[in-house]
Amino acid sequence: MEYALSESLEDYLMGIFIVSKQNKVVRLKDIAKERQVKLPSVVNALKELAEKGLISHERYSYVTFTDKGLNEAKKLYDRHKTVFKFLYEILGVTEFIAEKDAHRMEHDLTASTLDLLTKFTEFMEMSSKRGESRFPEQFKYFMETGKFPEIKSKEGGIMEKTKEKPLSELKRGESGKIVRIKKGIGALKGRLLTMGAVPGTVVRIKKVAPLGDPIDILILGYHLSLRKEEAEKIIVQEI
Amino acid sequence: MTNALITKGKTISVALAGNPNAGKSTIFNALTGGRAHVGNWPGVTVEKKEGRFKYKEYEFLVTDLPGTYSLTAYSIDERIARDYVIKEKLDVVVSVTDSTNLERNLYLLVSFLELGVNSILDLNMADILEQRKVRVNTKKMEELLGTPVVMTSATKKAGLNELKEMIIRSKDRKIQPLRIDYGKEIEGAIKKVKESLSGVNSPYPVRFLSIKLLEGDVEIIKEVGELGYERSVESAMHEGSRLEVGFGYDLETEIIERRYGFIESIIRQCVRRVPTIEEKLTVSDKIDGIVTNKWLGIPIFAFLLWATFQLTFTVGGIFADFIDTFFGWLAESSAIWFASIGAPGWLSSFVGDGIISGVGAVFVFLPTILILFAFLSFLEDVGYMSRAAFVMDKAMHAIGLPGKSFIPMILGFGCNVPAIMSARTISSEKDRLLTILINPFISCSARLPVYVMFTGIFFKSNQGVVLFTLYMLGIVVAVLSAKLFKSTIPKLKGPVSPLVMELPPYRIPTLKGVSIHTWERGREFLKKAGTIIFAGVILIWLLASFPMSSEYASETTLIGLIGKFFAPLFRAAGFPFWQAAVALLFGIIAKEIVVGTFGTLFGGEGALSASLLKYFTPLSAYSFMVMSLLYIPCIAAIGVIYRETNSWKWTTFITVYSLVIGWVMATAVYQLGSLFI
Repeated sequence: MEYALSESLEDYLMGIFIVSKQNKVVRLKDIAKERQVKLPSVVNALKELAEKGLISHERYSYVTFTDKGLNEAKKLYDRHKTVFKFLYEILGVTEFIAEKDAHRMEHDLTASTLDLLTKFTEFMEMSSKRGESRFPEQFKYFMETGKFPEIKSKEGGIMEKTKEKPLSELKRGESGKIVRIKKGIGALKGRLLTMGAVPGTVVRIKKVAPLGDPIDILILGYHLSLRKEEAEKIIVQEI
Repeated sequence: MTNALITKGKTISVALAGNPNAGKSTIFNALTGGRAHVGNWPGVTVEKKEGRFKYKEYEFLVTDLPGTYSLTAYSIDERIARDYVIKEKLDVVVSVTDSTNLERNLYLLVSFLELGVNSILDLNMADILEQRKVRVNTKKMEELLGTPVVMTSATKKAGLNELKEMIIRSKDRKIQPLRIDYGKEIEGAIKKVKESLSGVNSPYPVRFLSIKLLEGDVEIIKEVGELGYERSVESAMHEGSRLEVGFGYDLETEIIERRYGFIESIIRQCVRRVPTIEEKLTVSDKIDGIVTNKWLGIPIFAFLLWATFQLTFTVGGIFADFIDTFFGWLAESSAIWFASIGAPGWLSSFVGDGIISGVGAVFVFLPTILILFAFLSFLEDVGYMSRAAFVMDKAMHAIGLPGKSFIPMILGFGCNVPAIMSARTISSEKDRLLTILINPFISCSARLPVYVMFTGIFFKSNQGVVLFTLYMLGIVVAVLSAKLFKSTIPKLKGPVSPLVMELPPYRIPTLKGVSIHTWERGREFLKKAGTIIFAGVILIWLLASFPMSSEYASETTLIGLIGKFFAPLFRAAGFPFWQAAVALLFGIIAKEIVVGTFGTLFGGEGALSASLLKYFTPLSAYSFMVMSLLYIPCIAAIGVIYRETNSWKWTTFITVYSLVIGWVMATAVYQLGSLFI
């Protein structure tokens, strides 16, 4: 990098990028809200960023990126997202802490470490998607029980009893015992939990709507309909 | 409600809380005799019902809270219930539960008890329990929960006096918030958060606040933050993440799980012979097997909707015609009578064209609304409406709306007014608003006379095809508008709200329940929407009558002048003459009036078709029909949009938007058409 950006300027650049993703135009007050700072600080930061040729900002108008700035902001944003993913999805840290720590890590870690972390996160994501590696599942099991999952057979599968799948994959008439509700789905999780979808509850798929979605499940003795989209968030053990 | 005659001690304020379908409204109706004041909760469009009744020397004020499953602020309904119970200083909250499904139903009660609210547990539907030979040890339940328990069966009017007695007896009860043991680790966390909250000035008990902070309740976090206790919020976050990392706990899950554990232990100790799921649901299941069947589900839904539609608009139409004729006769007779006593022409016109037709314009909708809502409340009370949403959800999801929006969309083909009112069953405010906003584009039956008149003159050989394109255009504009609103208006942005919807067991509705609900809808329409419709009609009358020297609605009246002023605007759409503009203005009262207005302005039925042929070409006739389809919803639709959104902002927005869309589409049709013809 031929120019050095301070930690705070990096954050501003990323902040502007996040705002620009959400809104059509970037206003000063949106940046202030995103960064949780006062307007004058935003004005100062924008001045510096403009001097470095990353953004352009005329008085009283919206903020726009230069090509260089957009590139830089995207890089920063991707880096932040990967670190966040590592903490949140792989380690299972809470959203709040993950956000906070990701912020620290991305500024303090050496570039090469960050690079490897990125690669590692990608690898874990791919392997869990393809179902080839059981690392993520095994790690979750380890976190929950403190024990290393017993290997059942040579293929390296985990014991049958811990075989988990989303409720959306059960077929009509099949039952499952709820293991957990996925994180990161906002208020939906609480809604499902308060309606009785707590771990240990047994559910059965009673019906599928004529068009294939939503589904009707029997839970705590009543019928509840969910879209597959929602059912996917409920992890069950087939029984 | 401030009433000087009400003295404290003689008046008991009661709120009814409970899960949807627990029989709350039946209890409410049974207690108050169905006489309720219906309004809105402040700031939102959720319905608020209040009623009062006397028992012994006491006057009871009963508020029906929205049906909720918990008190965590996941939806507006739940927030309303929580705020009301906490901030209104009620004497007693009656938690109405469906005793055939205690496990889930008790969750709400437990939330109240943790909140330290003076509650009574009402085990409703006790008759069904008895049929199934299930015994509940209410004494033991009272002991374990620390709250009085009553059994009722609202549909059979059993246990109501016991409930009233219980309310009187427990109105001054001093109570301690219920303590559920959340286990060593969580209790430790609660203790720490509690300490950090010491001295906090909040209506909620401190333990409750601590638990909610740990659960991550957004509203409570905000509230505590505003009280200057950000440190407690952070402490809760810290404790939460410590437990999550250390023990693999997910706090929210763990806390709710413990509550369900507590409920389960109560049920185990107090209920003998919990029926198995299978025997409990057979009848309902059998019906569902047919009604939501893979092949039959959609045809059955289509048939029920068709039947509702037919009966509403044909039977309703007969009454509506009758009312229309009656008011027409009344207007005529008044004119004759005024002439006979030599009253001035303007007075006669004011009474005839203004007041009488204004009242008529309101009442003409009443039969349709009453019949439709009788049907809809019947289907709702039976339990079919949620099945309809279940069956149609996927199709509607494709255009960004939930399954429950389908019914208002279809009803719009009959009349947009009841269609917009029927959107009320949609629980998410965002989805409901969107459903209401696009409804006026669905071509209602009042627009049909306009199409019939024009197609009969200009498109004799392919009347059907032209009609079809107009109806399709309405649907396309509605769907595209929905997409547009969803991508541009912040309040409507985002994916369709998640579907977590109970399919209640089928029940036989009571005549009383259905008729009360139907009448409430009718009354609201008359009161709120009716005022606006009436005012609109009077306004148009004024415009059409002044100045007095001119003939009613002629070129030199205000409306004629307005028409002349706007006429050039329609040059691009192909009908730049004042009569068209005036007809459109009158069409705001009701779209079919466009036809009558042309009749008046072009000199009676006979000369009409000749004049139209002189003024319109087939192309401009088509663009005029497009305009009639899309521009400003009629005054009645505007009235109900206001009534249902409770906002002038949205009402104005959709009025202006539809006007612009109408003009743009009519112009586009005319201009593009001109290129080819």
